[in-house]
Amino acid sequence: MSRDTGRTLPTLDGARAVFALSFERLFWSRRSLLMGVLLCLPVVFGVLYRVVLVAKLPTRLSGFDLYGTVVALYYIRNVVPLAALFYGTALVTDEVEERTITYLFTRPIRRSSVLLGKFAAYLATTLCLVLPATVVTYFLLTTAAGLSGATAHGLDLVRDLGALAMGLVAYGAFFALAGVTLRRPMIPGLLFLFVWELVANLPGYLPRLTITAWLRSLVTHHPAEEGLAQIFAQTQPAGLSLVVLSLLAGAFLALAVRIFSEREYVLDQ
Amino acid sequence: MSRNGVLASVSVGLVVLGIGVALSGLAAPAATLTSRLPAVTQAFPADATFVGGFDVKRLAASAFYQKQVAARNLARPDAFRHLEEETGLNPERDVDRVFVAGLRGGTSVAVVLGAFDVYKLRAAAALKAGAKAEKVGDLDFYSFAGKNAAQPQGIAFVDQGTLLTGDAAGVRAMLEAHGQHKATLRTNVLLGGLLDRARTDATFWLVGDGTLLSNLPTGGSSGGLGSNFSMPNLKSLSVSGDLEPLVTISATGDAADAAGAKNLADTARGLTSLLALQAGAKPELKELATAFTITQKASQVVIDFRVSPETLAALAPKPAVPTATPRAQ
Repeated sequence: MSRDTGRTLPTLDGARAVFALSFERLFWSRRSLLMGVLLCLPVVFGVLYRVVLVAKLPTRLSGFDLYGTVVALYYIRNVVPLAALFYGTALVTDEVEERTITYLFTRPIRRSSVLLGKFAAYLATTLCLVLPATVVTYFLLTTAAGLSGATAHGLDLVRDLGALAMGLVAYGAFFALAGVTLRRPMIPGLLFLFVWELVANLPGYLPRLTITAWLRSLVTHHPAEEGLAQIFAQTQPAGLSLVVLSLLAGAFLALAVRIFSEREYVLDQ
Repeated sequence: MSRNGVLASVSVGLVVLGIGVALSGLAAPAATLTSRLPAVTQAFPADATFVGGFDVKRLAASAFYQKQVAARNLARPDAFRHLEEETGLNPERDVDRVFVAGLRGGTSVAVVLGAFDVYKLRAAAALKAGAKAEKVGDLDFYSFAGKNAAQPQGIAFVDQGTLLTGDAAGVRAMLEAHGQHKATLRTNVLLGGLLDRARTDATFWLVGDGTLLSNLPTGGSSGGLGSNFSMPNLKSLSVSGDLEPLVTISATGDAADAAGAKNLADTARGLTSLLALQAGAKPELKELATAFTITQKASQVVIDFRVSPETLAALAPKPAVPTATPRAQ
């Protein structure tokens, strides 16, 4: 019996096919090389710490304190949102700019499968870069005085890995929505990250309108800061933060799928 | 498998391995006494007030220890001196690890692990004043008069690399318990629980009940901490520390309630403030004062001390310079 090639694949089967194709293209791209360097910088710092800095840093700063600073300030506040911005906004815009989206649309797969498959490929790529780098950094920074330094904070590591994964999901969904909605999503995306997200440092209810405030509440590291951020820093309950971020990610992704399914893309000639 | 499959597998493997190793500490408590401490230490008396340990090899090999002992700024630990006097052992040379248990009445027993000449030690023990040799179980036990006539000392050889020493009655009790494979220390619920959580892989560590602090001298008019100072009332105390790369000491005290813990934390903060106040006259005290981190969680107070060996070396008293005696004309 021959396969009916004209029949549209079920959503999940289609998404799986798009994922296999996109993961290959996404991981071995110049963008991934750049993001890989950025995401793995803490590993270099960890090596530097073990080789040079461990005896020279202020005596009150332990390896675990440094690891906490890396997670809270470097990953959660900067690099994870940036990685989501660069990958998430490009899921569709790259195909539009390279005029290859037509080939996807002519295949017997649903549009929702295309976006979901690409989103899964983005997640797989970023998780493969961020999580191992975090684990290696953790061990480099906490085992200067023996393995007990690492085993003493094992639950924190698990929690951090979960928070980073949640950050990639939530920001990724948001920027996927931006990517399917806006023609040039990069500048608005940067403005969102480095202007709107600063609202998280203000007092009152406003921080709850940011993604970062909920994400910061998932980790236990709260490095000392100066200025307003130190005075007004708020932490929401971790359980509530997890629920809010999951709902946000689901809503953003559902909206992105809907818009992508209905939108007409006119390619430049 | 495609290159992406390989890469994803390596990433997942690395993360799972890392999480597994990091969480292995959670599984450790159940096996703590049997896996982390030598079996013979389980025969420590059930009424021990504290249990502690030294990783002598690591301690003696640390640059900090060598520098301080060489400069005679820091005396060798009392336990080392006592061990050498009682047994003829040179701890830095012959001993790997020492475990000590404090007994009611201020005496103690110790388990010494290392590489030493048992025949020489037996001969030395037999020659001590009032020495008496006997068998306890199938092990040789020597008792002899200590410095204090009312507290005879004892030494027993468990095997080629393990000996018990200290209070004669305590050593005998340990030998009997060890011969019957009794884990007497486990019956001490408080110390057993503290040991499960203790960092027994640290260079030095100690866990004890509330009597540990109350037995310390608070000093009166003659010195110490002052006549108005009263030692905090603690239910238990755990201390662990390392000398490299930084000198780190972590002490956790369990008070009777949150108010007691707050009182203890305030006292500790007050003492560090006093150090900071004196920093004007002695700048190195400033770094010492900032080396303390004091946190209170409910009825528990954790005091972390973290300082570079150089700072401690700067604070140590300088060796006295011999004064030149005038030559007779």
